[in-house]
Amino acid sequence: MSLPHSHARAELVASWKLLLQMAFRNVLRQRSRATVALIAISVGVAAMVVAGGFIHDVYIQFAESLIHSQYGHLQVHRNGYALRGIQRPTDYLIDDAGTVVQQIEHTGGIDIVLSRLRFTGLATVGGADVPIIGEGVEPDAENHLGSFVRLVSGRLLRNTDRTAVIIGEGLASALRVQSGDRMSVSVSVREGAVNNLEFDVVGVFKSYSKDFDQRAVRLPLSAAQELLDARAVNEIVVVLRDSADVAASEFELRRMFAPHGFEIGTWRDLADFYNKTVELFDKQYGFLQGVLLMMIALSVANAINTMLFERMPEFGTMLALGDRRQRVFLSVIAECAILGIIGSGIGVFVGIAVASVLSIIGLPMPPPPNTDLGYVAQIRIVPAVIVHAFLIGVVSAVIAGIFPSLRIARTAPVEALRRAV
Amino acid sequence: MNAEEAASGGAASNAPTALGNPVKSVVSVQHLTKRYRIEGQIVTALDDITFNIEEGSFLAVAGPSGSGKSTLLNIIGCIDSPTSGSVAIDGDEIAQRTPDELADLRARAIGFIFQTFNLFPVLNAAENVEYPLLKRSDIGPAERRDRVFHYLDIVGLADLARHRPNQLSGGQRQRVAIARALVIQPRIVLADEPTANLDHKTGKRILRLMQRINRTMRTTFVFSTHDQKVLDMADRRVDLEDGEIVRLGVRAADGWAYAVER
Repeated sequence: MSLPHSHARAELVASWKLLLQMAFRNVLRQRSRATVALIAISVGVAAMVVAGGFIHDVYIQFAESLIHSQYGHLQVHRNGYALRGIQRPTDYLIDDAGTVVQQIEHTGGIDIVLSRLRFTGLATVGGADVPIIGEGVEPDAENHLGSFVRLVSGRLLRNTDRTAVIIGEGLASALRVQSGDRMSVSVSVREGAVNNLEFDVVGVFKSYSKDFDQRAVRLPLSAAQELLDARAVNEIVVVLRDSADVAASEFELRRMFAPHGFEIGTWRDLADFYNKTVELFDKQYGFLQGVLLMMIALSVANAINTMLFERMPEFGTMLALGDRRQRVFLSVIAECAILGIIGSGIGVFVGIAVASVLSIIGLPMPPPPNTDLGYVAQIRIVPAVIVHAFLIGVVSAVIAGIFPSLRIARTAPVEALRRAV
Repeated sequence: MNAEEAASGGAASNAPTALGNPVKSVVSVQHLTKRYRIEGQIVTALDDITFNIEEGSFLAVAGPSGSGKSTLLNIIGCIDSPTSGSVAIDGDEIAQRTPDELADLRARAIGFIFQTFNLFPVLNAAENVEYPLLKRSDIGPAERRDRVFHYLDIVGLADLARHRPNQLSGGQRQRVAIARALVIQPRIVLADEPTANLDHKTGKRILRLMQRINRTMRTTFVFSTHDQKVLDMADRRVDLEDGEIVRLGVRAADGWAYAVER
């Protein structure tokens, strides 16, 4: 008794095949009206592909700038540093940093590991005192990391420097110093005494963060250790070869060092401003997508309405020939979906083309709020954004078709047949 | 018996009125009334109509424009509903059926031929004829194909099966519509002014084709017309005027014999 069942299945397949064929041919048949709908869908989808690609580029450039100017991909500190280390950095010193660095270097995917000694203190020039955040760094390694630090004047630190510092542009302005001037730095050391050393300002820099530049002093690690009277560091910065490996490396370092009193932080744990910016942009982009969805749906609805009501007698014929209302509804929705698929396909193609051209040209952007460096934006081709934009295009076309489809399906066959245009 | 008697159901409540042969009725129309509200005015399109349609008949519904011919065909075809009265197809009342049940009934039992052909412009002739069969789970692909070409052959269009409606003449389009109506092997074919959009010669050919199919396949045809020449080809007639039956006639050797005449 499998024959009726196989007939039913064959009938269902053939029925749907013809329904989709009819839908496709109807879209092609009403070219001028379909073109209006297709333009609305494709422009909206292309706008989403470009806007999403731009925002993604902002995320990536912002993230890379933070990673390569301040945070690295991962940081290793003594337990408790994340909570209180900013106020009392010298309470969380790692005395055997060399061993830790060696162990990290032996794990996979590492580009560079560098040590820092952070401290707070006062910079003095003449009678002016300005609170600073000092960073004792390994100059050559830090220069390798700090591709996003731009020198305004002078030069970067070198491994051979002993008493040289580079300072942020804001601090230089506050102290009224420039490259070639001298300044003194005072810090409280572990025993409560105050240490003071004289340094040569060899360079002035801009980083991504204006706040950072207003207090930043970079000096060789050995000089910082001498200033603090400590042969130790309090921050080990890990830079990976690939930013996509952060989670895996974090897991590995946590496994290795957490049992020994260390805490591992990713750049995202540290970059609060980045997280808030991403959250804000995501909300803005989500709102933009919602607005575009509505705009596409409204633009397409008008065209679809006209397309469908011109063909009312055809739907009347379908009903007269025994089509159920549900099938008439589905046939209209299928047309809208096909319009959406074609329009979204064109939109994705146009969006990628526009993104590629704009990326080749490059979009010079002013410094974002609270930052000092402008940058050249690109439009990234992001598969997730493309898929999302495509789906929004299709969904909005289907949404646009729901109301007219329901109206048509609910029309009595005789009424539909009478409405000859 | 006059039209008032027939309409009141006196002679027609349980037996054929005009077509009194002992042949099975395909359609039974009892006290059918249809009223519309147009701009606040009640318009009576059909007023207490009662008659039966016998299996294998070639019945013309005649009358001037606005007499209710199309309304009557639409209600018999289950694409419109009566205000009161009943219609039964093969003895089954259609009044209480849901829209989906009526759609299924149309898909199995009723073929339509429209004045404006109403072919799907995006489908070719064969696909148009195949369309109603796609709702029939009891018909497999091979039978479906056979039926499509069988009926296209009957209407003389097998060679034009791949042509779209816009590549066919008016007469050819109506032939495709006839094949589409026949392909489901319906109990009744309803044709609303099937020749109105055709020139006289083509119209006559179409009617002859329908007549030939009626005689060879015993398919019941009901068609509306106000053309006397077309009317003369029928073997039964129902004449309407202002929504009422004024004559029920059957073809006799020397013209029409009327069972009801006002």
